[in-house]
This record gives sequence, structure tokens and C-alpha cells, in this order.
Amino acid sequence: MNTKNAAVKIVFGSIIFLFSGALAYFAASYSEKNGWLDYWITLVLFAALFMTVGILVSRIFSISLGFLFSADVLFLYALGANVETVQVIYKAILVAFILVALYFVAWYKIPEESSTGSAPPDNI
Amino acid sequence: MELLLAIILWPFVVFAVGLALILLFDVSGPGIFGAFSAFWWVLLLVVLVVMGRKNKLSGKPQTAYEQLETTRQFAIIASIALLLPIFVRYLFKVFDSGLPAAILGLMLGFGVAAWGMFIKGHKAVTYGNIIGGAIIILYVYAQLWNMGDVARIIAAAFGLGAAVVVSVIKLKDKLS
Repeated sequence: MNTKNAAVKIVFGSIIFLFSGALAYFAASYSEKNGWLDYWITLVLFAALFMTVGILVSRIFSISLGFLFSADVLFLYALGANVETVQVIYKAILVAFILVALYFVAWYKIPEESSTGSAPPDNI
Repeated sequence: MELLLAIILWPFVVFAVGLALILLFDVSGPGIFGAFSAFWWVLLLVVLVVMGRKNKLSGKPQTAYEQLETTRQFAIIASIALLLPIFVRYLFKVFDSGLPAAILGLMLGFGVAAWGMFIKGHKAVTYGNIIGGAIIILYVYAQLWNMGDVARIIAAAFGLGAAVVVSVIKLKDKLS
């Protein structure tokens, strides 16, 4: 893998991550100030939008990962600030869903011990 | 589809770890399973020491890609190990810490721990299940202790039954 090429991709991905996070934060603050939408709901909507965009542009790794990590941070920030207001049953359902997804990932995507010598992909 | 799954893998793993930490603070109170209690630091230390010794003993230097894979595997193990007992804790809250929650917790704890012990070739699931199952069992037994004599009898009987079944399966070659 070309190191300089990889560094450029990481820099652009980081810039997208930072700017998308800033956009969501400022938009949410502005929306709340003007009484349009609740701050947290705006953040969650932006997170969903960034996740959708990240999936749609999945062919371009750095842009996709920038948006997806930004969505991660926004979702976790919104959940962390409001976790006490969510009903227990919904939290249990969320945890169950994430556990099932983790088992799926661990079972099908994590390479077994015998195949840890495989080469990394070239197109990152 | 494969490309999409490969792309969303790392963000999903990061989200799972973040979720586990946030919910750990949500469910924990004071006491042995509190968020900053010694229990978690000792557990983390033990896991790091075991994994460090395993890597040292293998003798083979890891490439950057392999180190990334190891880190991802560790993150998935930690997420599964934390989210399983958090799920049981929420079950207790939903059922008001009653006996149904305790029985479900016992079945889940012993079930995932046994699953972890018997599967082969999937390290992340194995370690995640064993650690998560052990924490669930510790937590459920701590809760059952306060529920009275009947609950303690059920807990002891369940534990005995699970230990006998697992021992028979694991040691059946040595029995004859």
C-alpha cells in the first residue's frame, strides 16, 4: 500500500469526520434556538443522514468511513446524554439487537486462527 | 455487499464498544460491579496479561494488518463480554428483580458460557461468551442471595446440574 496515498486518505477522512460533526452540532444548536426541532432529535437525524451517506458512498473508503464514524459519535453522544430517559425495555431490545449483530460479525467476518496470515486488501 | 460489510465493520465495532461503556455506567451503582470498581480493572488486567503472554509465546511478529485484526477481535470480545451482563441487568429491571429474571439470567449465563467452552475456531465468540457468561453467573448469584431460601436452592441446583452436564460432555472420553 502506498504510504503517502494512505496518509492523504486518512487526512481527508478525518476532515470529513470533523466537519460533519461540526455541521450537526451547529445545526442542532441553531434549530433549538429557533424552536424548530429539539437539539437531540436534530443530532440523531443528522447521524442517520451521515450513516446513509456513508453507506451510499461505500466505494470511496475515506469519505464513507469519515461519515460513518461521525454518525457513530453523534449516536453515542445523544444516547449517552439521554440514557436515563429511555425506558428499560427499549434499552434491553437495543442491547439484544447489538449482541445478535456482534455474534454475526464475530462468526462470519472475524478470520479464524488458521487464516491470520492473509494479506491485507490493497484498495483501502 | 461484501464491500459494504467490510466498510461498516469498524464503525459498528466502535459503536458497540461505546454503547457497552455508556450502558455500563447506566446500570452500575456502588458495590463490586460499580463502574469504577476494582472488579473491572482486575478483569481488564487479567485479560491483557493473558493476551500479551499469548502473543509473546507465539513468537511470530505481527504485521500492521494482523495487529488491526487482533485489536478488532479484542474489541468484539470486550463488547460481547460487557453487553451480555448488561442485558441480564435490564432483564432484572424489567421483571422487578423477580425469580423469572433470575432463572432467565441463570439459563443465559450458563448457556453462553457452555457455548463458549464447546465451540472451536471462533476465538471472539469463545472468549466473549466465557467472560460474559461468568460475569452473568456472578451477578445472578449475588442477586439470588437476597431472594430467600427457595431462590438459593434453585440457584444451587441449577449450578450443580450445569456443572455435571458440562463435565460429562467434556470428560466423556476419560470416563470409560
